[in-house]
Amino acid sequence: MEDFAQISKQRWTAGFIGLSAALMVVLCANIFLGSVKIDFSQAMHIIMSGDDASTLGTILWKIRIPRALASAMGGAYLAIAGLLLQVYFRNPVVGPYILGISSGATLMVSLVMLTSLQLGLTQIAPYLTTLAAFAGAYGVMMLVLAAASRIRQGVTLLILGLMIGYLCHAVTSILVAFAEKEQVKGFVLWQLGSFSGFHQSEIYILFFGGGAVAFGVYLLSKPLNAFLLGEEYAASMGVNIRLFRILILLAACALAGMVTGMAGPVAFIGLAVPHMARLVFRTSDNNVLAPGAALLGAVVTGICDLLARLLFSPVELPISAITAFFGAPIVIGLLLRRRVVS
Amino acid sequence: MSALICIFTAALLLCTGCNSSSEASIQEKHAEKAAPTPASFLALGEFSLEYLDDGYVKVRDGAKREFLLVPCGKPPLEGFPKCRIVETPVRSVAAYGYFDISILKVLGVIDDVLVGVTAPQDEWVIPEVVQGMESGKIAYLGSYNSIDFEVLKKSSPEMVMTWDHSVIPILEDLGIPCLITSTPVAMCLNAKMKFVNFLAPFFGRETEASEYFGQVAGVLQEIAEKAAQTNEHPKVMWGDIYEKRVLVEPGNAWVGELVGLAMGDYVFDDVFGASCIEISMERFLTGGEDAEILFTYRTPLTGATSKEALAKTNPSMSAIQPLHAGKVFAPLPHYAQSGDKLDEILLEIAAIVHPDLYPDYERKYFTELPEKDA
Repeated sequence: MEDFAQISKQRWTAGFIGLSAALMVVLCANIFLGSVKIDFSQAMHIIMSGDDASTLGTILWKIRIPRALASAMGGAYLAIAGLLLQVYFRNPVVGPYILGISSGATLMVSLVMLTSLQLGLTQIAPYLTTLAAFAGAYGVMMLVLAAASRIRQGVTLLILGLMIGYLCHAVTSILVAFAEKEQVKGFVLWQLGSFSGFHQSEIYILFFGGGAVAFGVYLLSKPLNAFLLGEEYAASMGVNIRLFRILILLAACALAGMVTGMAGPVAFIGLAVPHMARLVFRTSDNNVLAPGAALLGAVVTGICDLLARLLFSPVELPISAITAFFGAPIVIGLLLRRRVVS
Repeated sequence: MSALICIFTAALLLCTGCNSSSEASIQEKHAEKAAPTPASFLALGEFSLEYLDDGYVKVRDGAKREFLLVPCGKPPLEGFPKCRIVETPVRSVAAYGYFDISILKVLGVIDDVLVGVTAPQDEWVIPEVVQGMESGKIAYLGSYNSIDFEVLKKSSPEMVMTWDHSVIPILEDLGIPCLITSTPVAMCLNAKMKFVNFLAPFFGRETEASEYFGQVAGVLQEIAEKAAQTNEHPKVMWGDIYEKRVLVEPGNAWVGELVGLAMGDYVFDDVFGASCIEISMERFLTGGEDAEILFTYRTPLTGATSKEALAKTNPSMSAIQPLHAGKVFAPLPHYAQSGDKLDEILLEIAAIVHPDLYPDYERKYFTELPEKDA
């Protein structure tokens, strides 16, 4: 038994070290590689000197570095959100968008982008799209939390989330049907999801806001582990089930909403990465899985974003297309092999 | 040397125009006593025409499907399904694209054949379409992404010209030939100029098509000759700036080719793909580092009201030179529906690239964005 525990710890340690190293490699690749060639020495000089005024400096400091950080943090948060919801619903195919978060964000963005001409607004204020996405995502989150405080059954809440998503989608579809072509074009671009164009302020929000939530999730690891064994067992261990459910949903929706608000919908990361983490670490212990999924999500999303940028450079591919190629086969394979550990 | 290349390129296009001129000698297909048509082949990018004996024409559309054009009164040839057989001249057509409809105007058939469009009446500036919709002869079929097939069927088009591949199955079920007039990659300059030749056989208007091509080719020659007078190569970019994304016209598009012909330096010449394709912001940024001119499809009606407004849309891209030290041009509302004036549009773009060569030119299709909103 002690040998097994020792082996497990060694595996976890190796996993964390490996993923951390991989993350560093991915971050470096995202910073040093792009459609504009920048020599390593030149890039290092720009980074060390803090030059953000020249064109290459702008590319590094205002385009590549923010994007690399955003994709890593975004992927980490989506993975954590997916993990939380899979534990909460005890369902391996639940993702962070199952509760209507992305649909809510999409609805609000469509309201802003598709109705501005009708309202006589030819210009959308900077960041208004992001703010609208935030409002939509967190608006749906509030609905879900309000429902969660009254609904005990996870399945019912799941269906409620789906219905909220369908309602939002219905309204969005109506808006699209009556929108101007130019507006639809911009809206479709947003729907594709992208870590392009992140501003410094958004990076700070991701880092501090998302980091705080992620840390809070880590503190919930023990109750999460207890919850895995059933609500009754968790309650017997002193967990306030009602409050715990709200906290899980709050954290998951907050993380997913934050990423969606800034990057748009990014598919499959939240769904597939938790399973990948379980395979890597061979455990259902959330003390390990939560940070492990975060690291793995950061790595996978960083790789996907790099591929989206470089495969047909300078043409960019939608990141959700790349993540789908990664995520869908993994989920299908796991389901077929029935190797899902929840 | 580059000037000679421009002249040579223009001459090459004119040579193809000469071939097109010879096609103008083809008799009207509906003439009862037409002489046999010699076989000839015309390729326009993804599109192609193959003139067969006895007035038959084999056509390949943008979706790489083959159609057979059958002269009125003659039997169809074997090997073509019913939905790929079009009797010519086509007497009624529904069309999605502004450019396609403009070409109908060039061919002189817009009043007679156009029965359905996918833009509401208040969006049109082509007089024939406006009048046709007012009189009820031309029906609004619904938005391009939500066609009302009942209205379409009622309009009784003999053919539909569209870019939307998804409507092919239902149109074939309805017994209406569906001609795809777009391709996966942006239309090159040659295809843009000669697209009229692709549509002409459907309506028996080869003469009109050749005249139009000759007119456009003449302007192109004029542009090349003027371009030879200068050694300046202003850098030009053509794209759209969105909040977190940028799109550009690829180098294979007609705009990229034209800029080069006009002795400009198109900065996205290395990009290949569809019209208005998304590229990385860093590539857009470096392309705009020393560019002098930015063309954008975003109109003043949709936010491109000033250089300052564009810069606010995506602050990361505000460093490109056209937004602070160069010039930005946006199309006027009627630009998209002026495909019948391609010669004037080409000339105007050339005049924008090299205003010194066209001192008296007055713009009709583009407006220069002011520094700030009023």
